[in-house]
Amino acid sequence: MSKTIIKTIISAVLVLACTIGPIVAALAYESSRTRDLTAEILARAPEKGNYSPRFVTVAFGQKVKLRVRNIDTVTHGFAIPALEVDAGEIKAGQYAVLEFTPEKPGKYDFYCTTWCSEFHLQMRGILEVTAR
Amino acid sequence: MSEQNSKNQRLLGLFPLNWRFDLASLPGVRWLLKQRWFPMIVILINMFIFIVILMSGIMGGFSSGNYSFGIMFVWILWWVLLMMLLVPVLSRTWCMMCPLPSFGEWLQRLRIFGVNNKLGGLNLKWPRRLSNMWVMNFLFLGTTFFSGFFTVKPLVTFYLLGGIIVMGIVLSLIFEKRSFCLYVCPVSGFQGLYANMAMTEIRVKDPNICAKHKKKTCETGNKKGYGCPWLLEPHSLKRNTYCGMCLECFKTCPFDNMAFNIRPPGTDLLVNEKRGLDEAWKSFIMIAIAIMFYVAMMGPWGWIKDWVRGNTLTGWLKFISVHTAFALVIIPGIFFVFSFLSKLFSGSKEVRLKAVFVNLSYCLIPMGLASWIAFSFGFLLPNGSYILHILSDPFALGWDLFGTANIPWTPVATGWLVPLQFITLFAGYLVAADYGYKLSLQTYTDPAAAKRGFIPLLVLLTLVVIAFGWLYGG
Amino acid sequence: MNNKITVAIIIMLTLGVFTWLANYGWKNRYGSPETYEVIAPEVVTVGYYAEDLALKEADVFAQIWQKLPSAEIVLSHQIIEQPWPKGSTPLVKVQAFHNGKDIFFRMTWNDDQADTAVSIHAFVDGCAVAVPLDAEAPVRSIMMGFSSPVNIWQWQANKDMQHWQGKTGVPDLDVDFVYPFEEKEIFSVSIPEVKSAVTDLLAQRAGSLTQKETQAVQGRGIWRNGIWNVVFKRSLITNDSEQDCQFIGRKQMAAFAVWDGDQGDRGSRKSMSEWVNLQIEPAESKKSAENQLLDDNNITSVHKVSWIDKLRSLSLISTAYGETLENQSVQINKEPRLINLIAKRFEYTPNRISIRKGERVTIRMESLDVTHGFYLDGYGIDIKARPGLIGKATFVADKSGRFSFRCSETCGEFHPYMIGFIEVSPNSRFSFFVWSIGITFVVMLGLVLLKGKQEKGIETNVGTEQ
Repeated sequence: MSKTIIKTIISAVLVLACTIGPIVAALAYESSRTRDLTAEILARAPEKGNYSPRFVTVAFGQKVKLRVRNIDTVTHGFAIPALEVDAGEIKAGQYAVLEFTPEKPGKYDFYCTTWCSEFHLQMRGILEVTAR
Repeated sequence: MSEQNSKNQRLLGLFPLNWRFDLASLPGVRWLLKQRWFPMIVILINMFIFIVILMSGIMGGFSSGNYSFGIMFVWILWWVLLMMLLVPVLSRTWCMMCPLPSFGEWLQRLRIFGVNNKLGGLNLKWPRRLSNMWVMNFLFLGTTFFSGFFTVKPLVTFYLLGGIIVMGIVLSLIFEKRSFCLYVCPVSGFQGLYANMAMTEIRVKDPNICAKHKKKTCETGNKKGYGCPWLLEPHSLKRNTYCGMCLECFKTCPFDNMAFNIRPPGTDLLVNEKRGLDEAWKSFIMIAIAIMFYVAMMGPWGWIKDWVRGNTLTGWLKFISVHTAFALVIIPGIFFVFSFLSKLFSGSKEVRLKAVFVNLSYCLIPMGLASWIAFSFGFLLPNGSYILHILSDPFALGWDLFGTANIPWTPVATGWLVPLQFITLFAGYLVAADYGYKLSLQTYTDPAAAKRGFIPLLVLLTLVVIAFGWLYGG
Repeated sequence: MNNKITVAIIIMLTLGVFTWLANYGWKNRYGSPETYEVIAPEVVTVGYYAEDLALKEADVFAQIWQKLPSAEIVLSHQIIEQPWPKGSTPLVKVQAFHNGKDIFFRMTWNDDQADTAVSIHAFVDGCAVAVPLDAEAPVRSIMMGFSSPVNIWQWQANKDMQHWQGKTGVPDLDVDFVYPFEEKEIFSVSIPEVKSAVTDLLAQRAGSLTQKETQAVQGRGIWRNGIWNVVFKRSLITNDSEQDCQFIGRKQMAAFAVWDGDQGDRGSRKSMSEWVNLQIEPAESKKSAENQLLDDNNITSVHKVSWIDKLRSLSLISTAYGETLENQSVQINKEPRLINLIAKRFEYTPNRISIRKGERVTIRMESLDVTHGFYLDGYGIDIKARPGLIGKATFVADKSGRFSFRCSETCGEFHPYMIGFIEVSPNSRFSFFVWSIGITFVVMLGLVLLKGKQEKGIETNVGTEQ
């Protein structure tokens, strides 16, 4: 009797580990990696939705950690010229992590720096540094 | 006479076709094959991989396919493995470890490892008229209409695989056992046909033992295993086509009479059982798709790529109509002309043209397989290095699980690509011609007529192989 | 019955879950459901008004400017070429008209301070209009190279002061380079005599900015109440179409830029716009309907490939391509043969290249849209071409056969399938293949035909062996 119970438990554990297991593990691992991110910005060509989000608000004087993930099929970039922040080229399927501390409150434009589409110049967003 | 003939035939005049070696006679192998957990544990591992594939598909959306776990695993690794190793060597071993129909099967059995021969679901019989390859032919051809989407967009791969899983569950609940795998699954058809070329088979060791065995537990099942889920009669199995290698017959046979044989490739091509136009068209479709895939994916013509990727709807409609006509009419038409010539040359009156057409079409299987293997090199060598990247970063989230995430795209030995393709095509040509001759002997009872009838077939095969060589590297 | 209900429920559940997942995936196919409406290029209407402005101070605020519509054009930091600006001017208003002889533009933008001379705190303010020489040129990257040379009219506040009021800054300093298109900062050694507040320039791509010999543009700027108003004036047509843009047809393109001196803007540190469409209304606004039809046809006649050309393009025979002079095979000599390759999604032009074994070849690749690459199988050559930058490689074709070259920079969904062929003739590998097949064919045919007569004997032999 106990043998069949053990067998049932083992098979249930195996099946769960192979079906729901990867989903739970992946989500847990990813959330542990992204815990200290201020924001994640997805980079997409304007006709595919542009940066998402296009408006990011951060608090003044605090360290900002941004992850820019290129989920598009072409190379993009990310830069905030007014803060002298530049991630350089971010190729398709790659990402960049930027850390900086804004010293003045205000609204700062961020841009894609690599010609990515005929609407490339529309690929921009705003980082707002609030005075709190 | 032909029975006698096939017993003594040799492949390329070298390897005797009736040579067999039973792998299960090795110590440990039979024990392994008889374990209830055996194929299931492999299925579970594959299920783990496929869940990751589905996840990467749903999370990947329309992002770059070459950095998607789903796209790369399915269309570089899995498809290439299927074409280059699993089918030509191990027959339908993929079906043994395929996780896609497992949900449906578990629902039927309400067991994962255990045995329960009272299967749930409606258990309807699959319609007799559809008990052939036609459904799979059309589904497979229909799937390739979308090849410009699912080989590049992770989400579309999710739709394809998810659709197969859902169809598997639904059909498993309605129809009995593995009806879905046998007659519907789009991947199943070509595996079944090309498994005839395989170098392995599951057969009985001694037919006499089966003849004496009244209960036929391999069909009905017993405490140790299920009756053949693939609706076959394992005791008189002759061809690989519909055998999914689930290994249940090893478990149910009380006399350990099943064998897992190694054999010369392609012996099933000569087995005249369940041959028909459906299987002939399957090989035409496979050859047409190999050509279309090469032209669209590895050719230099941008306008064809624009058609295939659905840049405009009219372009895509043009593509599917040209592709369908090519696969269903033009290639069969060419083959029909040559089989007509074959009958004409042979001078034989008593053999029907349909029999010539169907029988001779089996020699296209080695040719088609070779063209697919050659095509697969064109995927594997330039793009194989992506596999290392996506293993470490399966969801394109910037992970680095195994430290290989930063390996850039590195084409490997691409200078050898064309010579490798030529060698493969040449081997395929030799085997195809050899089997073409044997099939001709089998079709025309008179050997002299068979020889004359073989000449147009040989001309056709030569033209086909040169055409493929020209396409791949001319 | 019970069984059927269970089956139906499970099927419904399965379909429901799949539909939900499919829908979720579809909504997030670009990573998040957030969408963006692409803004179509702004249109500036250049209307016809029988009015002439002599660019007196009052002309900058003339009546006509009050009634003309103005287009609000969004500017962005110039971040394509280094160095980048620190601040930016977010918006410029543009008005334009013509009087059949001259064309006028007025740019107005907010600037809290007029910087008319170089000081310790600031550089000078300025603005510019850029117009391509070829009105039909396809839209390409700004700054990174145009498909046609571009006329640039740059107005600078210090030159305005000098030209119109005869005042110079103390000391009289110029901004150290005139316009952004220099890759490194250079001193202009001699300051040319100021004949106009607007410098008339010509550029083909970044780093090619050239001051034209004939200065054809006049302009005047007035700063009033925190707003700069700058008017440009040039004749519609000049007699030098190689160096001056012409306003002949009804369409032209233009881009605008603004420099804010106290933000440190100079050279490439500026705010700039996308390409804007100019719609030029004809002098006699009654144009026959027929002509208009013709015009529309001209616009819509996109480069179409006839089906015969498509069929012909399928041919793999090497002599069938190499249409341009440069791509034709020349005598083998020391000069490498130049092959101009144009890459765009997802095809190379030419897509098949035929070269002879031993030939030295230079591949010069240019991209029409996004960054593309060129990886040549067998040779391992890798080129990268960003839009506007040429990728180049020279090699000796010492391996014969057909090789594929493929894109090595992810450029779009079909990137893995972006392929072209290079055939290094003679294609000995293919000849070898065909010969082997031919010989095998003959051998097999011979075996079948000759052995035919002895078939019986062989069969019995085999039978006895067993």
